[in-house]
Parts: sequence; C-alpha cells; structure tokens
Amino acid sequence: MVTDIENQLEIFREQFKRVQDEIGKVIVGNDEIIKGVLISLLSRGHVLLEGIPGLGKTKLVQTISDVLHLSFSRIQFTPDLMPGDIVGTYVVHESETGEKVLSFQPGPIFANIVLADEVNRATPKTQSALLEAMQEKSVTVGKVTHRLDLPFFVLATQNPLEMEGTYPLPEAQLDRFFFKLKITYPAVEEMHEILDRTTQVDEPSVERVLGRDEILGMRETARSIPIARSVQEYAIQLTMATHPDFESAHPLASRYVRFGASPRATQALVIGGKVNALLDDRVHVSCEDIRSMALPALRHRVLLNFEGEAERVDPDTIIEGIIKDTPEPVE
Amino acid sequence: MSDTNSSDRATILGTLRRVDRRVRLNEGLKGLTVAICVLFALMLFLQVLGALFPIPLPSIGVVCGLWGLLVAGYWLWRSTRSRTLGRAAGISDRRANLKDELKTAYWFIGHGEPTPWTEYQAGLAAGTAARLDPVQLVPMAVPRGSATAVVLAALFALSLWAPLPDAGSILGATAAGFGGFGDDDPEQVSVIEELMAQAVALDESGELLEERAISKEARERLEEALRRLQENELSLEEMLREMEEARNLLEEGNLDMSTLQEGLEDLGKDLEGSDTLDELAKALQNQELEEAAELLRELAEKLAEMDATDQLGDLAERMDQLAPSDQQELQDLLAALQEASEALGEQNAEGAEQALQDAADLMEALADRMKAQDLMNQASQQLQSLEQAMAQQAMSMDPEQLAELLSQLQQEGEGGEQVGMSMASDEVQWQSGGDEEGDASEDPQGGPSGHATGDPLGGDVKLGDPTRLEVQLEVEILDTGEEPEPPRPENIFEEESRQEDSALGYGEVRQRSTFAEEDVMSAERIPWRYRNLVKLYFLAIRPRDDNGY
Repeated sequence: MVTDIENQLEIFREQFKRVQDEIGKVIVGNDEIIKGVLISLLSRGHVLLEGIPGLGKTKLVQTISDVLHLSFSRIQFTPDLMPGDIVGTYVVHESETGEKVLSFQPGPIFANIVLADEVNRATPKTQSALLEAMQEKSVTVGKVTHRLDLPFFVLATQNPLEMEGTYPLPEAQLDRFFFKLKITYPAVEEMHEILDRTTQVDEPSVERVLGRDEILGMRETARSIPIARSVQEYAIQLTMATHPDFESAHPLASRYVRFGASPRATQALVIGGKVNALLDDRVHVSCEDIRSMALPALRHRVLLNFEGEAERVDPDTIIEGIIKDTPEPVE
Repeated sequence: MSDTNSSDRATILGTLRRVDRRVRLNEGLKGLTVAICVLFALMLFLQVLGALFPIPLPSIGVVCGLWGLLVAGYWLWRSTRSRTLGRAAGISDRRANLKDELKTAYWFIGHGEPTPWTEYQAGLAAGTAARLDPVQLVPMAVPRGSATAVVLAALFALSLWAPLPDAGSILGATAAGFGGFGDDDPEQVSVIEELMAQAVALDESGELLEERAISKEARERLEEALRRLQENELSLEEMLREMEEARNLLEEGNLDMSTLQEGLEDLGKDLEGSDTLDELAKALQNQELEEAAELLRELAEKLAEMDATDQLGDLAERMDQLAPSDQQELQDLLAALQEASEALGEQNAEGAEQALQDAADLMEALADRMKAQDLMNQASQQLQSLEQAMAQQAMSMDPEQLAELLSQLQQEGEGGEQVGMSMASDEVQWQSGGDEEGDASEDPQGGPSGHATGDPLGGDVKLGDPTRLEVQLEVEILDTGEEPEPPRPENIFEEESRQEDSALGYGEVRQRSTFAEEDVMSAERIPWRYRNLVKLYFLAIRPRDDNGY
C-alpha cells in the first residue's frame, strides 16, 4: 500500500514537472500562471485568464492543449455569437437512402480543452451556454442531454481594457471558474527570452507528454490528500471573512463588499491546496497551501458594493487584508 | 491497525506530550511571574495606602495567604482542565516549520477512519516527530515580566526598610501643606498665635454676652476648635467648618437693627417741637438710648415741678400722639409712654412718674441689647475675616482645592453679603464692599447684613481693590440693554443709501453670471470620447440660415 502511494506521488510529480517543462519551452516566465492553470486542470476546475492583449493568453492555452494529448477547440466570442454556435445544433441532411433527417452537429464545446477567447464579448445568452457545460459536464440541446468527454477544461480569456460593447460575466458564471488568473507584463529578462524565441527562423515547439488517462489519474491522486480539520477551518474562515454580514468579516469586506465568496470558493481553496501540497512534496494540506490559493480562488467571487466600485478597490487588496489578518488555528 | 501504525501513533503522541509539558511549564512560569508582580504591586500599594490614610489594612501575612490561595486555586483549575495535544502539535508545526504536518497527523489519529493516505501521512509525521527535540523546540524561557517582578520586590523591600512617613490622612497632609501646625515651623506657630489672639478678642467680646447661652456656645466651640488645631488634630477644612458653625451661632436670633433704628428715629421726630422733650427727641434720633433713658428719668423727677395746665398737657398730648410700632422691642416702650400720657391726662403725677421710670428702664435694656447685638456682629465679622485669612493662607498649597473648599463654604454660609472672590492665574484675591480699615469698626450700627473686611492677621492677608463707583456704573451701563435710537428723520435717506451699498451691483450680477456659465461648460460631465458625438448632434439640430449654414 505504501509503495502504491509512493508510486502515485512519484508519477504525479514527475508528470507535472514534464508538463511544466514542456510548456516552459514556449511560454517564457508566468510560472505561477502555468502552475495555476495546471492546478485548475487537476482540480477539475476551469480558469478565467485576464490580461491585456499581447501577453500570451491564447498562446498559453494553445501550448497547454498541445502538451496534453487532448482534443482542443477554440471559440472566439463575439457579440453575434449564438448559443448554438457553441453547443451545436440539429441540421438537416440527406441520408444514403435520400431521406431528409435531422442529426445533431456537436459544437466546439465538445472537446477536452475549450478556449473561450474574449468570453466577455458575447451576449449573456451565449455566455450562459457555457454554464451547464462547465458545471455539469454536459449540454442539453432540444430534449437530448449530451455528456462531454472528460477531462473537460474551459480556459476563458478576457481583456480588462476596451470594456465598451462587452458583457461582463454575471456572478453566477464567474463563480463557476475555479481560478481567475491575472497575466501581467513580463520582466525585461523575460522579454529578451521571448524575443529570442519568437524572432528566429525556428520557433519552439512542444510535444504531447500527457494523455487523458494520466490526467484523470492525477486528479484522483490530488483528491486523496488528507486535510486536517483545523486547516479546513482556516479555509472556511478565509471565505467567511469576505462576507460583509458575517460576524468575523474583515473590515475591508464590511466596507467594500456586497456579496462574499461562495462555498465553491472554499472548495477551490481546499482542492487547490491539495494539489499545491503534492507539488510541495507533502501528503497533507497546510494553511500555507490554503493561503497560496486564496487570491486566484477568491478574487472573482468577491462582489464589490457601490463604495468599492466608486473607489476602484481591487478585490486583491481585500483578500490580501483578509489573509494578513486571519490567524491560523492554534490547535 | 498494523503495528507499524501503532508505533507511528505512539511516536507522534509521545513527542507531542513532551512538547506539551514544556509548553505548560513555560506558561506556568509566566503565570507565576504575573502573580508575583500582582502580589508585590498589591503590597506596595497597601504600604503606600497605609501611609496616606489611617484606615485598617490587612497585614502582609494575610495578603500573602490570600494570594497563595488564589494562585493554588488557579493552578488546580488549570491542572484539572481537559486539554488536547492539538495545541502542542500546532506549536511544534510552527516552531519547526512543519507546515501543519503534526497537526494533520494528530487530527487523523483521533478522528475518522484511517485510510491508506492518512496512514501514510502519519508514518511520515512519525518520522518527523522522532527527529524533533522538544527541549530545543520549546526551550525554558525567562518570562518577560520577571524584571518587573524583581523591581516591584525591590521597591517593596525598600518601603519596608525605609517606611513612608505617617501623614495621618490626605486631609491632614493637605492641612500640613497649607501652612502646617507643627512646632518646628515658625510660620506655622505664628499662624497659631494669631488665631489664638483672635480667639481672645472673641472671648472678650463674648464676656458682655454671657447671659446668652448662644454666644457662650459659639465661643466654647471656637476655643475647642482652636485647641485641636494647635494640637494638629484638626485639618484646615474642619477648622473652617467649625468657624462657620460658630459664626452661624452668633448670627442666630439677631435684632432687626435697621428697623429698630428707624422706629427710634420716628419716635424722636414725634417728640420734637416741645421744650421739655427736645433733648429726649434728639437723643432718640441720634440713637443715644442711654442718654435718652437718663433724660426720661430726669423728666419723671421734674413732673411734680411742671405747670399742670400747660407743660403737662403738652407733654400728655405729644406722648398720646406717638405712632404705634410693629417692633416688639419698641411696643413695650411705647406702651409705657402711653401709660405715662394717660396718667398725665388724669392728673396722676405719681402714676406718670412711675410710667416714665419704667420707660427709662426699658430704654436702657434696649440700649444694652443693641450694644450686645453690635458686639455680636463684630464677632461674626471677625470670624468671617479669620476664615478668609486662613483660606488665603492656604493659597500656596493648591488653588483648585481651595477654590472648591471656599465655594462650598460660601454656599453653606447663611445671610449677609458674601465676600466676592476673583481668581487670576495662581493668585486668589478677595474683594469686598468696604475698605481695608474695616467697615465694622466705623459703623457701630452694622447689622447682620454687614461684614468687616479688615486685616485680622496683619500683612499676611492681601485684599483686592474695593469696587469703585465708576466700575459699578460701567456695569450698569452695560447691563441696560437699551435699543439703539432710531435714525433721525433728516438722516433717513442717508441710512437707506448706506444699506443700498451692501446689495449686489448690476455690473457684478452679469460678471458672476458669466463666470457661472463658464464653470458649467468647463465641467467634465461629458466623457471625452462622446464629445465629438455630442458636438455633431448639436450641429445637426442647429437652426440653419437661408444659405444652409
């Protein structure tokens, strides 16, 4: 038994490192983003990537899909995109016997990795087409529910600028994203590396190093990590501190937050913490793991009130304040 | 459960127990230090309290005993309180940077069904726990409060070795600060001597009033207070209260001197116009009652020699016309004179003589009472001056405390014109209606409404300037609150034009309006990216001329 567990752990770490290294061949820097995306993938979650144009969001997702031996589809969200364009629709075609029949034509959502590029440019109606798929891993067209192939992993990107004519994602949809990751400008050294790699004749390429079964196995391993009640209590305290009406609400939350994070946020903290513990060569979750997951797991689940919007308060500031002021359980 | 897992559990729990013992030992030391600090602070406080206040305090043994009982009770409570090793696991994780490894293992040892993963984690944690050294992990620490405990202990020992002076009480200490009444201070002795001199003066004035128990009681009370003050048994506040009580006693049952004097003056006026009674009338008007009594006796003796028709008739008529009085003291006198008048009317010379003799006796008695009252007033005034002097002597100790004390005394004092007090910075000055020479000595008829403001203690007392008439007039002018006079008819137009100046001119209205328009246009209310659109819109809807522009 011990040997089995040790083997699983070894495989997990080795496979994760291979994926990370392979992605690193194309993507320069952004180690935390890559790690966050992979943690989401292994936690059965979806990721919302936010960053200004040109920082490599789409490139990152494409590289991940290249590294993983999984089906990949890309949906460019535009205002005229319809739900049927995502989930698929019934089309009339002529059978071999010459008979006209309706058959389901699956949309791009039927893939293991779906890149929803600039997701906030589509209408809420179209955005909501993703809701069922992301949460239930299935889509219903007409009266038929179609199961999606696992692993199903949605990577959505959005641009924080050029907000005109966009449709900000509703809270219900935001909550379905496991993590929200913010891509920032690369450092100068990283810029040199990007230029070196992308302005030569041969551009770097990646190999597929991880298949579907390996990913599902890694997911099982991650979920097996034990977590003590006190650490779980810490995750709950962090989440509840974002609720302005909760008795232990953080002062910043009381002032600037309209609605705090949902239980999904606590789930993200704990599951993400488990993957993080595995990556840190541990088989138990610590409060440090929970803290490291707090920003990506909570930032999009904290809904600012009018005062917070007016003062342009960054939810990260509130979460950092909560992390700083929430003590770890003694026992 | 396998043996390996049991040994892992034992290893983890053993380490945690050792850690827990050391943590509790450190906590015990810390608690003991705090308890020792509290003990020494309490004993030091009691030591100081005992030195300042003459109140019964528990002995050191009792305090230590109570402290010991409390500490033992607390210790017992802590020992019997159920505790888990979770805290020790948390402390171990934190100090050894184990990232909640022992905490997780301890949780799964005590809770839930073991799974392969929890067993595996417990095995790893047992290895970590075996490597931990509880002595290094939780070293014995000298509590932070130990330095405070040592300092407090040293202070307490010092207070035992060099005990604080027994000042009796806070008030006693205050009285000593005021000027002191110890034998070794010449200034204090001089104060006592002056106070005793005042007591003798009061005593002398009281000899004339010995028939009045009230005066005697006041004097005895004051003498007793002075004796206690001299023996340092009385504080300043208590002495001032005693003096106030004595003064109140002296002012009890006073004659209404002013009404009495007016009545005597009226009586003198009624008797004017007669050769026989002129001198008597003048003596009454001058309030010279003893002389008036003597004149009445002479008149009684001369009755037999007078002309029965003219002089006695005139005398009878004048006495008959005497106006009645409300004053009890004068009613008896008037009744005697009325009786004499009636006897004269009946040609009863003997009866008239006897009645006049009675009137003379009554007048003498009234003279004695008025004189006694005058002396009582003087005594009361001297007492008040003495109070003021003592209070002013106490200025050097604490102005705020003294001001409070004096205000209390003034509120408690009865009747009479109160002495005004003005406080400027650190000095308190006393102001009165009279001059420094003392009004009472110059005003033999000073009633209870008057007070002497002389300087009973010589140069030590500094009195403020007397209120001058001009000052009083200024206040009255300020207090009149008269409305300003309306403008005269010839100035009405000038007044109107002055009011017109305060209004906004026509030119300024336009100027301000323009500024407001510019301000509105300058406001960034239209987002810059929509400005062009707005401009185009207004250009499109603008009225066009014939040329289409």
